[in-house]
Amino acid sequence: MVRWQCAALLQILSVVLLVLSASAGHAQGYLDPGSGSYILQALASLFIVGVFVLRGYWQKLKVKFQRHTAKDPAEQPDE
Amino acid sequence: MNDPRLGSSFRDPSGFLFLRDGVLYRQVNQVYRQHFEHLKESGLYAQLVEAGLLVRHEEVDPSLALSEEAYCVIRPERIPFVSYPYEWCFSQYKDAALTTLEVQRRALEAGMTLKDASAYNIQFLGCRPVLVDTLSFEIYQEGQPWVAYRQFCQHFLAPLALMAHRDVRLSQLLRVYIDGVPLDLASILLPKRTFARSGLLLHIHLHARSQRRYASRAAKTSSVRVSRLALLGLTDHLRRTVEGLQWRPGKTEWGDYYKATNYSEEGFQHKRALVAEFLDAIQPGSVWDLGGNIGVFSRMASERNVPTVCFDLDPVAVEANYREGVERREAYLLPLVMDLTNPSADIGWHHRERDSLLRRGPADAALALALIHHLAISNNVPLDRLAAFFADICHYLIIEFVPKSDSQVQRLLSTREDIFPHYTQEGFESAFSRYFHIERREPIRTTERTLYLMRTRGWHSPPQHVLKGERLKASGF
Repeated sequence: MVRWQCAALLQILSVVLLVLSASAGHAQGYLDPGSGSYILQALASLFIVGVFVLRGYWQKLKVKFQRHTAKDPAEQPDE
Repeated sequence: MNDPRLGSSFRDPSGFLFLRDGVLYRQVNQVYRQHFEHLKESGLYAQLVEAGLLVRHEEVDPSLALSEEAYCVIRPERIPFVSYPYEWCFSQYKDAALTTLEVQRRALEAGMTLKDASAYNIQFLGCRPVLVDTLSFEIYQEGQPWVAYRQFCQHFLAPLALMAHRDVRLSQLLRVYIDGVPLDLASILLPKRTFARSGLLLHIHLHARSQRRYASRAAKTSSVRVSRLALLGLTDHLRRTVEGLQWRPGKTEWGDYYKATNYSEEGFQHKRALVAEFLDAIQPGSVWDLGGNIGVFSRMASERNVPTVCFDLDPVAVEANYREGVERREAYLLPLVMDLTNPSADIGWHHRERDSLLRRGPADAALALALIHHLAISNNVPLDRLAAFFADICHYLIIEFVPKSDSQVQRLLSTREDIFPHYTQEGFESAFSRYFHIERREPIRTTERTLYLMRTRGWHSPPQHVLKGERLKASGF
Protein backbone atom coordinates (compact mmCIF):
# COMPACT_ATOMS: atom_id res chain seq x y z
CA MET A 1 0.00 0.00 0.00
CA VAL A 2 2.77 2.43 0.96
CA ARG A 3 4.51 1.86 -2.37
CA TRP A 4 1.33 2.73 -4.20
CA GLN A 5 0.95 5.93 -2.29
CA CYS A 6 4.56 6.92 -3.01
CA ALA A 7 4.14 6.16 -6.70
CA ALA A 8 0.97 8.19 -6.85
CA LEU A 9 2.56 11.13 -5.06
CA LEU A 10 5.59 11.11 -7.33
CA GLN A 11 3.32 10.99 -10.33
CA ILE A 12 1.30 13.96 -9.13
CA LEU A 13 4.47 15.90 -8.41
CA SER A 14 6.00 15.28 -11.80
CA VAL A 15 2.84 16.22 -13.66
CA VAL A 16 2.41 19.40 -11.65
CA LEU A 17 6.03 20.35 -12.35
CA LEU A 18 5.56 19.60 -16.00
CA VAL A 19 2.43 21.66 -16.34
CA LEU A 20 4.09 24.60 -14.59
CA SER A 21 7.22 24.49 -16.71
CA ALA A 22 7.44 25.93 -20.20
CA SER A 23 10.43 25.30 -22.41
CA ALA A 24 11.30 23.85 -25.81
CA GLY A 25 9.79 20.51 -26.66
CA HIS A 26 11.03 18.14 -29.33
CA ALA A 27 9.53 15.50 -31.57
CA GLN A 28 10.62 11.97 -30.84
CA GLY A 29 11.31 9.15 -33.25
CA TYR A 30 9.11 8.05 -36.07
CA LEU A 31 5.74 9.34 -34.98
CA ASP A 32 4.91 12.80 -33.71
CA PRO A 33 3.16 12.01 -30.46
CA GLY A 34 1.92 15.57 -29.98
CA SER A 35 2.80 17.50 -26.82
CA GLY A 36 -0.84 17.80 -25.83
CA SER A 37 -1.21 14.05 -26.10
CA TYR A 38 1.82 13.34 -23.94
CA ILE A 39 0.60 15.69 -21.27
CA LEU A 40 -2.89 14.29 -21.35
CA GLN A 41 -1.48 10.79 -21.14
CA ALA A 42 0.40 11.74 -18.00
CA LEU A 43 -2.80 13.19 -16.55
CA ALA A 44 -4.84 10.22 -17.65
CA SER A 45 -2.43 7.75 -16.13
CA LEU A 46 -2.44 9.86 -12.98
CA PHE A 47 -6.20 9.54 -12.90
CA ILE A 48 -5.92 5.83 -13.46
CA VAL A 49 -3.23 5.37 -10.79
CA GLY A 50 -5.41 7.49 -8.52
CA VAL A 51 -8.32 5.16 -9.14
CA PHE A 52 -6.09 2.16 -8.31
CA VAL A 53 -5.04 3.84 -5.05
CA LEU A 54 -8.59 4.74 -4.14
CA ARG A 55 -9.72 1.24 -4.95
CA GLY A 56 -6.95 -0.03 -2.73
CA TYR A 57 -8.18 2.13 0.15
CA TRP A 58 -11.75 1.04 -0.50
CA GLN A 59 -10.77 -2.63 -0.38
CA LYS A 60 -8.90 -2.03 2.89
CA LEU A 61 -11.97 -0.35 4.35
CA LYS A 62 -14.22 -3.16 3.20
CA VAL A 63 -11.98 -5.81 4.73
CA LYS A 64 -11.75 -3.84 7.99
CA PHE A 65 -15.51 -3.48 8.11
CA GLN A 66 -16.08 -7.15 7.40
CA ARG A 67 -13.62 -8.16 10.14
CA HIS A 68 -15.31 -5.78 12.54
CA THR A 69 -18.81 -7.09 11.90
CA ALA A 70 -17.59 -10.71 12.07
CA LYS A 71 -16.14 -10.11 15.59
CA ASP A 72 -19.41 -8.59 16.84
CA PRO A 73 -20.74 -11.00 19.55
CA ALA A 74 -24.32 -10.20 18.54
CA GLU A 75 -23.59 -11.86 15.20
CA GLN A 76 -22.29 -15.05 16.78
CA PRO A 77 -24.79 -17.85 16.63
CA ASP A 78 -26.03 -19.00 20.02
CA GLU A 79 -24.96 -22.47 20.83
CA MET B 1 9.71 5.12 -61.94
CA ASN B 2 8.73 1.59 -61.00
CA ASP B 3 9.71 1.59 -57.37
CA PRO B 4 9.32 -1.89 -55.95
CA ARG B 5 8.66 -0.37 -52.52
CA LEU B 6 5.04 -0.27 -51.58
CA GLY B 7 3.46 3.16 -51.73
CA SER B 8 2.44 3.19 -48.11
CA SER B 9 5.69 1.85 -46.71
CA PHE B 10 8.01 4.81 -46.68
CA ARG B 11 7.75 6.64 -43.38
CA ASP B 12 9.35 4.15 -41.07
CA PRO B 13 13.16 4.11 -41.05
CA SER B 14 13.04 0.65 -39.48
CA GLY B 15 12.23 -0.97 -42.78
CA PHE B 16 9.79 -1.22 -45.64
CA LEU B 17 7.74 -3.59 -47.78
CA PHE B 18 8.66 -4.34 -51.36
CA LEU B 19 7.77 -6.74 -54.14
CA ARG B 20 10.24 -8.88 -56.01
CA ASP B 21 9.05 -11.28 -58.70
CA GLY B 22 5.56 -11.09 -57.35
CA VAL B 23 6.54 -11.96 -53.80
CA LEU B 24 6.08 -9.58 -50.88
CA TYR B 25 9.09 -9.01 -48.65
CA ARG B 26 9.88 -6.74 -45.76
CA GLN B 27 13.37 -5.35 -45.41
CA VAL B 28 14.43 -4.90 -41.79
CA ASN B 29 17.06 -2.19 -41.43
CA GLN B 30 20.11 -2.11 -39.15
CA VAL B 31 18.58 0.65 -37.02
CA TYR B 32 15.87 -1.78 -36.02
CA ARG B 33 18.15 -4.67 -35.22
CA GLN B 34 18.02 -4.64 -31.42
CA HIS B 35 14.24 -4.24 -31.39
CA PHE B 36 13.80 -7.07 -33.86
CA GLU B 37 16.01 -9.37 -31.84
CA HIS B 38 14.16 -8.47 -28.65
CA LEU B 39 10.84 -9.16 -30.36
CA LYS B 40 12.01 -12.68 -31.00
CA GLU B 41 14.04 -13.35 -27.86
CA SER B 42 11.41 -12.09 -25.45
CA GLY B 43 9.01 -14.62 -26.92
CA LEU B 44 6.61 -11.84 -27.85
CA TYR B 45 6.65 -12.70 -31.55
CA ALA B 46 5.87 -16.37 -30.94
CA GLN B 47 3.19 -15.56 -28.43
CA LEU B 48 1.44 -13.07 -30.70
CA VAL B 49 1.53 -15.35 -33.73
CA GLU B 50 0.26 -18.25 -31.65
CA ALA B 51 -2.64 -16.10 -30.46
CA GLY B 52 -3.42 -15.08 -34.04
CA LEU B 53 -2.69 -11.41 -33.32
CA LEU B 54 0.33 -10.90 -35.57
CA VAL B 55 1.14 -12.14 -39.06
CA ARG B 56 3.67 -14.88 -39.32
CA HIS B 57 6.83 -14.34 -41.27
CA GLU B 58 9.90 -16.28 -42.35
CA GLU B 59 13.40 -14.97 -42.57
CA VAL B 60 14.76 -15.29 -46.07
CA ASP B 61 18.03 -14.84 -47.89
CA PRO B 62 19.40 -11.40 -46.94
CA SER B 63 20.74 -10.91 -50.44
CA LEU B 64 17.15 -10.23 -51.45
CA ALA B 65 17.45 -6.85 -49.72
CA LEU B 66 16.93 -3.72 -51.76
CA SER B 67 19.49 -1.55 -50.03
CA GLU B 68 22.61 -1.64 -47.89
CA GLU B 69 20.83 -0.51 -44.75
CA ALA B 70 19.31 -3.97 -44.48
CA TYR B 71 19.81 -6.10 -41.43
CA CYS B 72 17.70 -8.95 -42.73
CA VAL B 73 14.78 -9.68 -45.02
CA ILE B 74 11.57 -11.38 -44.00
CA ARG B 75 8.71 -12.76 -46.00
CA PRO B 76 5.40 -12.08 -44.27
CA GLU B 77 2.22 -14.11 -44.61
CA ARG B 78 0.12 -12.58 -47.42
CA ILE B 79 -3.23 -11.01 -46.79
CA PRO B 80 -5.57 -12.18 -49.60
CA PHE B 81 -7.31 -8.81 -49.87
CA VAL B 82 -6.03 -5.58 -48.34
CA SER B 83 -8.83 -3.52 -46.83
CA TYR B 84 -8.97 -0.08 -45.24
CA PRO B 85 -10.76 1.29 -42.17
CA TYR B 86 -13.26 3.25 -44.26
CA GLU B 87 -14.40 -0.06 -45.69
CA TRP B 88 -14.97 -1.75 -42.35
CA CYS B 89 -18.29 -2.19 -40.64
CA PHE B 90 -18.61 -1.14 -37.00
CA SER B 91 -17.68 -4.47 -35.46
CA GLN B 92 -14.70 -4.97 -37.76
CA TYR B 93 -13.43 -1.57 -36.72
CA LYS B 94 -14.07 -2.29 -33.04
CA ASP B 95 -12.32 -5.65 -33.25
CA ALA B 96 -9.39 -4.00 -35.01
CA ALA B 97 -9.13 -1.48 -32.15
CA LEU B 98 -9.30 -4.20 -29.49
CA THR B 99 -6.66 -6.22 -31.31
CA THR B 100 -4.32 -3.22 -31.30
CA LEU B 101 -4.82 -2.73 -27.57
CA GLU B 102 -4.35 -6.40 -26.81
CA VAL B 103 -1.11 -6.40 -28.77
CA GLN B 104 0.03 -3.32 -26.85
CA ARG B 105 -0.84 -4.95 -23.54
CA ARG B 106 1.15 -8.08 -24.36
CA ALA B 107 3.99 -6.00 -25.72
CA LEU B 108 4.25 -4.04 -22.47
CA GLU B 109 4.32 -7.27 -20.49
CA ALA B 110 7.25 -8.36 -22.64
CA GLY B 111 9.15 -5.10 -22.25
CA MET B 112 8.15 -3.65 -25.60
CA THR B 113 5.67 -1.09 -26.87
CA LEU B 114 3.97 -0.23 -30.16
CA LYS B 115 5.51 2.79 -31.78
CA ASP B 116 2.46 3.38 -33.90
CA ALA B 117 -1.23 2.55 -33.67
CA SER B 118 -2.43 3.16 -37.18
CA ALA B 119 -5.63 1.46 -38.30
CA TYR B 120 -3.77 0.57 -41.49
CA ASN B 121 -1.54 -1.75 -39.47
CA ILE B 122 -4.51 -4.05 -39.01
CA GLN B 123 -5.70 -6.33 -41.79
CA PHE B 124 -8.24 -9.11 -41.87
CA LEU B 125 -7.66 -12.78 -42.48
CA GLY B 126 -11.22 -13.76 -43.16
CA CYS B 127 -13.11 -12.45 -40.17
CA ARG B 128 -10.09 -12.15 -37.88
CA PRO B 129 -8.11 -8.92 -37.46
CA VAL B 130 -4.30 -9.21 -37.27
CA LEU B 131 -1.45 -6.79 -36.92
CA VAL B 132 0.59 -6.83 -40.10
CA ASP B 133 3.35 -4.40 -39.19
CA THR B 134 5.98 -6.58 -37.59
CA LEU B 135 8.32 -3.61 -37.20
CA SER B 136 5.88 -1.64 -35.13
CA PHE B 137 7.41 -2.87 -31.88
CA GLU B 138 10.17 -1.15 -30.00
CA ILE B 139 11.92 -1.84 -26.74
CA TYR B 140 10.17 -0.11 -23.90
CA GLN B 141 12.18 2.33 -21.79
CA GLU B 142 10.77 2.63 -18.29
CA GLY B 143 9.01 5.94 -17.89
CA GLN B 144 8.47 6.45 -21.60
CA PRO B 145 4.90 7.52 -22.41
CA TRP B 146 3.01 5.77 -25.22
CA VAL B 147 4.11 7.57 -28.36
CA ALA B 148 1.16 6.16 -30.32
CA TYR B 149 -1.58 7.29 -27.93
CA ARG B 150 -2.62 10.23 -30.10
CA GLN B 151 -2.68 8.07 -33.19
CA PHE B 152 -4.77 5.41 -31.47
CA CYS B 153 -7.34 7.99 -30.43
CA GLN B 154 -7.55 9.48 -33.94
CA HIS B 155 -7.47 6.24 -35.92
CA PHE B 156 -9.65 4.12 -33.67
CA LEU B 157 -11.40 5.75 -30.75
CA ALA B 158 -12.72 8.85 -32.50
CA PRO B 159 -14.21 7.06 -35.55
CA LEU B 160 -15.72 4.35 -33.36
CA ALA B 161 -17.24 6.90 -31.00
CA LEU B 162 -18.69 8.79 -33.96
CA MET B 163 -20.12 5.61 -35.44
CA ALA B 164 -21.65 4.55 -32.15
CA HIS B 165 -22.92 7.92 -30.93
CA ARG B 166 -23.69 9.85 -34.09
CA ASP B 167 -23.94 7.86 -37.29
CA VAL B 168 -22.33 4.69 -38.52
CA ARG B 169 -21.54 6.32 -41.85
CA LEU B 170 -18.98 8.60 -40.21
CA SER B 171 -16.28 6.00 -40.76
CA GLN B 172 -16.12 7.59 -44.21
CA LEU B 173 -14.26 10.49 -42.61
CA LEU B 174 -11.22 8.22 -42.76
CA ARG B 175 -11.23 8.60 -46.54
CA VAL B 176 -10.64 12.32 -46.09
CA TYR B 177 -8.47 12.26 -42.98
CA ILE B 178 -5.78 9.77 -43.71
CA ASP B 179 -4.22 10.04 -40.27
CA GLY B 180 -7.47 9.49 -38.45
CA VAL B 181 -10.23 11.86 -37.40
CA PRO B 182 -8.81 15.03 -35.83
CA LEU B 183 -9.84 15.01 -32.19
CA ASP B 184 -11.19 18.55 -32.22
CA LEU B 185 -13.51 17.59 -35.08
CA ALA B 186 -14.61 14.43 -33.27
CA SER B 187 -15.22 16.47 -30.14
CA ILE B 188 -17.47 18.92 -32.00
CA LEU B 189 -19.37 16.18 -33.82
CA LEU B 190 -20.03 13.98 -30.82
CA PRO B 191 -23.24 14.58 -28.85
CA LYS B 192 -23.03 16.36 -25.51
CA ARG B 193 -23.98 13.20 -23.64
CA THR B 194 -20.54 11.79 -24.43
CA PHE B 195 -19.08 14.31 -21.96
CA ALA B 196 -20.66 12.20 -19.26
CA ARG B 197 -18.74 9.11 -20.30
CA SER B 198 -15.35 9.17 -18.64
CA GLY B 199 -13.49 7.35 -21.40
CA LEU B 200 -14.68 9.62 -24.18
CA LEU B 201 -14.39 12.70 -21.98
CA LEU B 202 -10.77 11.94 -21.26
CA HIS B 203 -9.47 10.46 -24.49
CA ILE B 204 -11.40 12.62 -26.93
CA HIS B 205 -12.80 15.79 -25.44
CA LEU B 206 -10.01 16.63 -22.96
CA HIS B 207 -7.46 15.22 -25.37
CA ALA B 208 -8.65 17.62 -28.09
CA ARG B 209 -8.41 20.53 -25.70
CA SER B 210 -4.99 19.50 -24.52
CA GLN B 211 -3.82 19.29 -28.12
CA ARG B 212 -5.14 22.76 -28.86
CA ARG B 213 -3.65 24.19 -25.68
CA TYR B 214 -0.18 22.88 -26.38
CA ALA B 215 -0.21 23.31 -30.14
CA SER B 216 1.13 26.84 -30.21
CA ARG B 217 2.80 26.71 -26.84
CA ALA B 218 6.14 24.91 -26.46
CA ALA B 219 5.94 22.30 -23.77
CA LYS B 220 8.72 20.33 -22.16
CA THR B 221 7.51 16.89 -23.04
CA SER B 222 10.88 15.26 -22.57
CA SER B 223 10.28 15.31 -18.83
CA VAL B 224 6.90 13.55 -19.05
CA ARG B 225 7.20 10.25 -17.27
CA VAL B 226 4.58 7.56 -17.32
CA SER B 227 5.34 4.29 -15.59
CA ARG B 228 4.83 0.97 -17.31
CA LEU B 229 2.16 0.12 -14.81
CA ALA B 230 0.35 3.34 -15.62
CA LEU B 231 0.60 2.50 -19.33
CA LEU B 232 -0.95 -0.87 -18.66
CA GLY B 233 -3.69 0.95 -16.82
CA LEU B 234 -4.10 3.37 -19.72
CA THR B 235 -4.27 0.52 -22.22
CA ASP B 236 -6.86 -1.20 -20.09
CA HIS B 237 -8.88 1.98 -19.73
CA LEU B 238 -8.86 2.44 -23.51
CA ARG B 239 -9.95 -1.17 -23.91
CA ARG B 240 -12.90 -0.64 -21.59
CA THR B 241 -13.80 2.57 -23.39
CA VAL B 242 -13.80 0.81 -26.78
CA GLU B 243 -15.76 -2.13 -25.43
CA GLY B 244 -18.35 0.28 -24.11
CA LEU B 245 -19.05 1.55 -27.62
CA GLN B 246 -22.07 -0.23 -29.05
CA TRP B 247 -23.90 0.16 -32.31
CA ARG B 248 -27.38 -1.21 -32.65
CA PRO B 249 -28.16 -1.37 -36.36
CA GLY B 250 -31.51 0.11 -37.20
CA LYS B 251 -33.61 -1.10 -40.05
CA THR B 252 -32.37 0.02 -43.44
CA GLU B 253 -33.89 -1.05 -46.71
CA TRP B 254 -31.19 -3.66 -47.11
CA GLY B 255 -31.07 -5.07 -43.61
CA ASP B 256 -34.07 -7.33 -44.19
CA TYR B 257 -33.19 -8.04 -47.77
CA TYR B 258 -33.77 -11.76 -47.93
CA LYS B 259 -37.19 -11.46 -46.39
CA ALA B 260 -38.23 -9.05 -49.11
CA THR B 261 -37.02 -10.77 -52.28
CA ASN B 262 -39.38 -12.07 -54.90
CA TYR B 263 -37.83 -15.54 -55.23
CA SER B 264 -39.83 -18.69 -54.80
CA GLU B 265 -38.06 -21.46 -52.95
CA GLU B 266 -37.59 -23.36 -56.19
CA GLY B 267 -36.17 -20.33 -57.96
CA PHE B 268 -33.78 -19.64 -55.14
CA GLN B 269 -32.53 -23.22 -55.07
CA HIS B 270 -32.11 -23.27 -58.82
CA LYS B 271 -30.05 -20.08 -58.67
CA ARG B 272 -27.88 -21.59 -55.93
CA ALA B 273 -27.33 -24.72 -57.98
CA LEU B 274 -26.34 -22.70 -61.02
CA VAL B 275 -23.92 -20.52 -59.08
CA ALA B 276 -22.35 -23.67 -57.61
CA GLU B 277 -22.04 -25.21 -61.06
CA PHE B 278 -20.42 -22.09 -62.49
CA LEU B 279 -18.01 -21.78 -59.57
CA ASP B 280 -16.99 -25.40 -59.95
CA ALA B 281 -16.44 -24.88 -63.65
CA ILE B 282 -14.24 -21.80 -63.16
CA GLN B 283 -12.38 -22.93 -60.00
CA PRO B 284 -11.45 -19.34 -59.17
CA GLY B 285 -8.53 -18.41 -56.95
CA SER B 286 -10.44 -15.39 -55.63
CA VAL B 287 -14.01 -14.15 -55.71
CA TRP B 288 -15.60 -10.75 -55.31
CA ASP B 289 -19.30 -10.79 -54.54
CA LEU B 290 -20.63 -7.39 -55.55
CA GLY B 291 -23.70 -6.22 -53.68
CA GLY B 292 -23.51 -9.49 -51.75
CA ASN B 293 -25.65 -8.30 -48.84
CA ILE B 294 -25.30 -10.74 -45.92
CA GLY B 295 -23.14 -13.13 -47.93
CA VAL B 296 -25.49 -15.97 -48.83
CA PHE B 297 -23.84 -16.47 -52.21
CA SER B 298 -20.39 -15.36 -51.05
CA ARG B 299 -20.40 -18.33 -48.73
CA MET B 300 -20.80 -20.68 -51.65
CA ALA B 301 -17.35 -19.54 -52.74
CA SER B 302 -15.77 -19.21 -49.30
CA GLU B 303 -16.99 -22.65 -48.31
CA ARG B 304 -15.02 -23.96 -51.26
CA ASN B 305 -12.00 -22.41 -49.50
CA VAL B 306 -11.76 -19.65 -52.08
CA PRO B 307 -10.73 -16.27 -50.61
CA THR B 308 -13.89 -14.24 -51.08
CA VAL B 309 -14.69 -10.60 -50.49
CA CYS B 310 -18.35 -9.67 -50.08
CA PHE B 311 -18.97 -6.00 -50.86
CA ASP B 312 -22.18 -4.22 -49.96
CA LEU B 313 -23.35 -0.64 -49.73
CA ASP B 314 -25.30 -1.23 -46.54
CA PRO B 315 -23.34 -1.20 -43.27
CA VAL B 316 -26.16 -3.13 -41.59
CA ALA B 317 -25.84 -6.02 -44.03
CA VAL B 318 -22.04 -6.02 -43.77
CA GLU B 319 -22.28 -5.98 -39.99
CA ALA B 320 -24.66 -8.96 -40.00
CA ASN B 321 -22.37 -10.78 -42.42
CA TYR B 322 -19.28 -10.11 -40.32
CA ARG B 323 -20.91 -11.14 -37.04
CA GLU B 324 -21.90 -14.44 -38.56
CA GLY B 325 -18.39 -14.85 -39.94
CA VAL B 326 -16.91 -14.25 -36.50
CA GLU B 327 -19.20 -16.79 -34.91
CA ARG B 328 -18.36 -19.41 -37.50
CA ARG B 329 -14.68 -18.41 -37.40
CA GLU B 330 -14.64 -18.02 -41.15
CA ALA B 331 -11.20 -17.81 -42.67
CA TYR B 332 -12.09 -17.26 -46.31
CA LEU B 333 -14.76 -14.59 -46.26
CA LEU B 334 -14.16 -10.86 -45.81
CA PRO B 335 -17.27 -8.66 -45.73
CA LEU B 336 -16.68 -4.99 -46.58
CA VAL B 337 -18.69 -1.81 -47.04
CA MET B 338 -18.40 -0.47 -50.59
CA ASP B 339 -20.45 1.84 -52.78
CA LEU B 340 -19.93 0.54 -56.30
CA THR B 341 -20.97 3.86 -57.76
CA ASN B 342 -18.21 5.57 -55.77
CA PRO B 343 -15.72 2.91 -54.76
CA SER B 344 -12.55 3.53 -52.73
CA ALA B 345 -10.08 5.68 -54.63
CA ASP B 346 -6.27 5.93 -54.66
CA ILE B 347 -5.48 8.22 -51.74
CA GLY B 348 -2.62 9.46 -49.68
CA TRP B 349 0.83 10.61 -50.65
CA HIS B 350 1.29 10.67 -54.41
CA HIS B 351 -2.09 8.94 -54.73
CA ARG B 352 -0.33 5.70 -53.91
CA GLU B 353 -0.59 5.13 -50.19
CA ARG B 354 -3.98 3.43 -50.14
CA ASP B 355 -5.20 1.71 -53.25
CA SER B 356 -8.41 2.04 -55.14
CA LEU B 357 -10.72 -0.93 -55.45
CA LEU B 358 -9.62 -1.41 -59.03
CA ARG B 359 -5.96 -1.49 -58.14
CA ARG B 360 -6.60 -4.28 -55.64
CA GLY B 361 -8.09 -6.41 -58.37
CA PRO B 362 -8.85 -8.07 -60.62
CA ALA B 363 -10.60 -10.95 -58.95
CA ASP B 364 -10.64 -14.27 -60.70
CA ALA B 365 -14.40 -14.29 -60.53
CA ALA B 366 -17.00 -11.73 -59.65
CA LEU B 367 -20.61 -12.34 -58.70
CA ALA B 368 -23.09 -9.68 -59.76
CA LEU B 369 -26.33 -11.24 -58.58
CA ALA B 370 -29.52 -9.20 -58.26
CA LEU B 371 -27.36 -6.16 -58.80
CA ILE B 372 -27.45 -4.88 -62.33
CA HIS B 373 -30.91 -3.32 -62.20
CA HIS B 374 -29.88 -1.22 -59.22
CA LEU B 375 -26.91 0.15 -61.07
CA ALA B 376 -28.64 0.58 -64.44
CA ILE B 377 -31.96 1.89 -63.24
CA SER B 378 -31.55 3.40 -59.78
CA ASN B 379 -28.16 4.81 -60.65
CA ASN B 380 -28.57 5.47 -64.36
CA VAL B 381 -25.40 3.68 -65.39
CA PRO B 382 -25.67 2.57 -69.03
CA LEU B 383 -25.15 -1.13 -69.73
CA ASP B 384 -21.98 -0.66 -71.74
CA ARG B 385 -20.40 1.30 -68.87
CA LEU B 386 -21.37 -1.45 -66.49
CA ALA B 387 -19.78 -4.01 -68.78
CA ALA B 388 -16.57 -1.97 -69.02
CA PHE B 389 -16.36 -1.73 -65.25
CA PHE B 390 -16.94 -5.42 -64.66
CA ALA B 391 -14.38 -6.31 -67.32
CA ASP B 392 -11.82 -4.28 -65.39
CA ILE B 393 -12.38 -6.06 -62.12
CA CYS B 394 -12.60 -9.75 -62.93
CA HIS B 395 -11.62 -12.56 -65.29
CA TYR B 396 -14.91 -14.39 -65.00
CA LEU B 397 -18.30 -12.89 -64.31
CA ILE B 398 -21.36 -14.62 -62.94
CA ILE B 399 -24.10 -12.12 -63.55
CA GLU B 400 -27.85 -12.15 -63.24
CA PHE B 401 -29.89 -10.17 -65.73
CA VAL B 402 -33.06 -8.79 -64.16
CA PRO B 403 -35.51 -7.61 -66.83
CA LYS B 404 -38.08 -4.85 -66.59
CA SER B 405 -40.84 -7.40 -66.28
CA ASP B 406 -39.41 -8.50 -62.93
CA SER B 407 -41.43 -7.21 -59.99
CA GLN B 408 -38.37 -5.70 -58.29
CA VAL B 409 -37.58 -3.61 -61.34
CA GLN B 410 -41.24 -2.61 -61.55
CA ARG B 411 -40.86 -1.32 -58.01
CA LEU B 412 -37.80 0.74 -58.97
CA LEU B 413 -39.62 2.16 -61.97
CA SER B 414 -42.77 2.94 -60.04
CA THR B 415 -41.39 6.22 -58.76
CA ARG B 416 -39.77 7.44 -61.93
CA GLU B 417 -40.08 7.75 -65.64
CA ASP B 418 -38.84 4.83 -67.69
CA ILE B 419 -35.97 6.38 -69.60
CA PHE B 420 -34.24 3.08 -70.22
CA PRO B 421 -35.22 1.89 -73.70
CA HIS B 422 -31.97 -0.06 -74.07
CA TYR B 423 -32.35 -1.95 -70.85
CA THR B 424 -33.44 -5.26 -72.41
CA GLN B 425 -31.95 -8.71 -72.52
CA GLU B 426 -30.73 -8.09 -76.08
CA GLY B 427 -29.27 -4.77 -75.04
CA PHE B 428 -27.58 -6.44 -72.10
CA GLU B 429 -26.04 -9.22 -74.18
CA SER B 430 -24.96 -6.78 -76.85
CA ALA B 431 -23.27 -4.44 -74.37
CA PHE B 432 -21.53 -7.21 -72.49
CA SER B 433 -20.40 -9.12 -75.60
CA ARG B 434 -18.09 -6.23 -76.38
CA TYR B 435 -16.09 -7.03 -73.26
CA PHE B 436 -16.92 -10.66 -72.50
CA HIS B 437 -17.43 -14.04 -74.10
CA ILE B 438 -20.80 -15.31 -72.99
CA GLU B 439 -20.11 -18.91 -72.02
CA ARG B 440 -23.36 -19.93 -70.36
CA ARG B 441 -26.88 -18.57 -70.30
CA GLU B 442 -29.47 -20.15 -67.98
CA PRO B 443 -32.98 -18.88 -67.21
CA ILE B 444 -33.73 -19.21 -63.51
CA ARG B 445 -36.80 -21.35 -62.94
CA THR B 446 -40.01 -19.64 -61.83
CA THR B 447 -38.42 -16.22 -62.37
CA GLU B 448 -37.99 -13.72 -65.18
CA ARG B 449 -34.26 -13.69 -64.60
CA THR B 450 -31.30 -15.21 -66.43
CA LEU B 451 -27.97 -16.23 -65.00
CA TYR B 452 -24.87 -15.81 -67.16
CA LEU B 453 -21.34 -17.06 -66.98
CA MET B 454 -18.98 -14.79 -68.88
CA ARG B 455 -15.24 -14.68 -69.50
CA THR B 456 -13.45 -11.37 -69.98
CA ARG B 457 -12.11 -10.94 -73.49
CA GLY B 458 -8.34 -11.23 -73.55
CA TRP B 459 -8.33 -13.44 -70.51
CA HIS B 460 -7.17 -16.97 -71.14
CA SER B 461 -7.08 -19.60 -68.45
CA PRO B 462 -5.06 -21.53 -66.88
CA PRO B 463 -7.46 -21.58 -63.97
CA GLN B 464 -6.11 -19.47 -61.15
CA HIS B 465 -5.90 -22.23 -58.60
CA VAL B 466 -2.86 -23.41 -60.50
CA LEU B 467 -1.16 -20.08 -59.85
CA LYS B 468 -2.47 -19.78 -56.28
CA GLY B 469 -0.07 -19.39 -53.45
CA GLU B 470 2.10 -16.37 -54.02
CA ARG B 471 -0.11 -14.91 -56.68
CA LEU B 472 0.74 -11.29 -56.98
CA LYS B 473 -1.52 -8.34 -56.51
CA ALA B 474 0.58 -5.21 -56.73
CA SER B 475 -1.48 -3.56 -54.07
CA GLY B 476 -0.20 -1.65 -51.13
CA PHE B 477 -0.29 -2.18 -47.42
